[in-house]
Amino acid sequence: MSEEKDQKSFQRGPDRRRNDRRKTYVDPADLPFPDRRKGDRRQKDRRVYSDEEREEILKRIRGGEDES
Amino acid sequence: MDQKSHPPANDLKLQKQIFAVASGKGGTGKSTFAINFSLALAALGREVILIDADLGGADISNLVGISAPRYTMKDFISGEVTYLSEILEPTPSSKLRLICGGSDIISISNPYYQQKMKLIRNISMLEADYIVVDLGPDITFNNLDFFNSAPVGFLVTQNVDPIILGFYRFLKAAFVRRLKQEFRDEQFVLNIINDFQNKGWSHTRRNLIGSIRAASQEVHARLDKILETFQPKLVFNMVSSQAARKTADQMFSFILENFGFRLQTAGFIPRDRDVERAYEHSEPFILRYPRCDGSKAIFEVLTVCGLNRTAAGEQVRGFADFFRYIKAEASNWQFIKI
Repeated sequence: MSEEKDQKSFQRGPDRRRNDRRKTYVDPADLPFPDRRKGDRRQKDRRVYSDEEREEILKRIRGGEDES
Repeated sequence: MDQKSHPPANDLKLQKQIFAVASGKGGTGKSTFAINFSLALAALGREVILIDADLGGADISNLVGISAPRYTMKDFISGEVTYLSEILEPTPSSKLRLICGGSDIISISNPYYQQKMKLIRNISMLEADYIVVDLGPDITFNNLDFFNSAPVGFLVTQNVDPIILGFYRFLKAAFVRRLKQEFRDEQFVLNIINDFQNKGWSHTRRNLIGSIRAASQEVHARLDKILETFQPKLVFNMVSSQAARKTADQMFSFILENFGFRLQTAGFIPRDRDVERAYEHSEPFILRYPRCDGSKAIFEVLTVCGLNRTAAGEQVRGFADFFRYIKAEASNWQFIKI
């Protein structure tokens, strides 16, 4: 009896939720806004800027100054 | 989680004459520009509301001589008042009213999504000819959403590397967020944008706009509409006009090449001792030193934006004419002695 009970509780556990195909996983970063009251996580960070980009901008805006 | 359960801020596009003022970095003179620009409009007889939306770091009230506002944004965000119009603070100018930010509690810096949407809705309900929204300096989702919601966005920058780079980061983040909001139902386009953000700059830079356009004709048309409407106006502060123009030209071509949209120059506020002196005394320079070069630059911004008209519809053609209105406005402000 107790084994049966354990099995049932196991089935209702995380494994069962993982195999539920009705839910389509959505990356929170792709949601427009997180609704924290519904338990949404904050949007994940995405890179908006890189070192090579920084160098290129500075070269572009400051590059011509040596000539003048 | 249903993606469509979140209407993006852009769906509530603020349709009035609303100007968002942002910078991407602190200390650029954003709030100084916002207050002087608002006062210039008020001096021409326009009804103006200036909103200090620098949530958590508000200070505009000090710049207009209000040391202890009766209400702040905190009262609205926390629900103590229902409408934003209830917390309008009068100023010595009959045409300018202020909504003070609240920096006394930390939670105001991070409003819930619903609180943010309520704020955007309420801004569009305010009764005024012009609404100027002074945003915080940092790149947060709040600032990006307020910036993208306003029909006209000013970006205040200076011609020094850290500030130029801060301005660029804000601009790029706002544009990418605008794209994500527009194409939230197009997974293919979202994948392109995520690739653009996650992979190296040189790997994807040329592909962003081209790849999105190639998705479908409908996506192509929607993208072109964004590129037409996303045209932030640049204000260079504390600059020598010639050097700043050169920087502006280079930035414009860089942005156009890589992102496909056009920036516009709204004006150049020169490095001016009078502007600095007014700031040291927490006074708007346009009232304290109406003849200074900073005031002339503000008039230039009004002219470039087509705002150099009085409430009666009369065009203000030159600075001498504008000066008369400013001088009359300054007489309302008792702490200003010209």
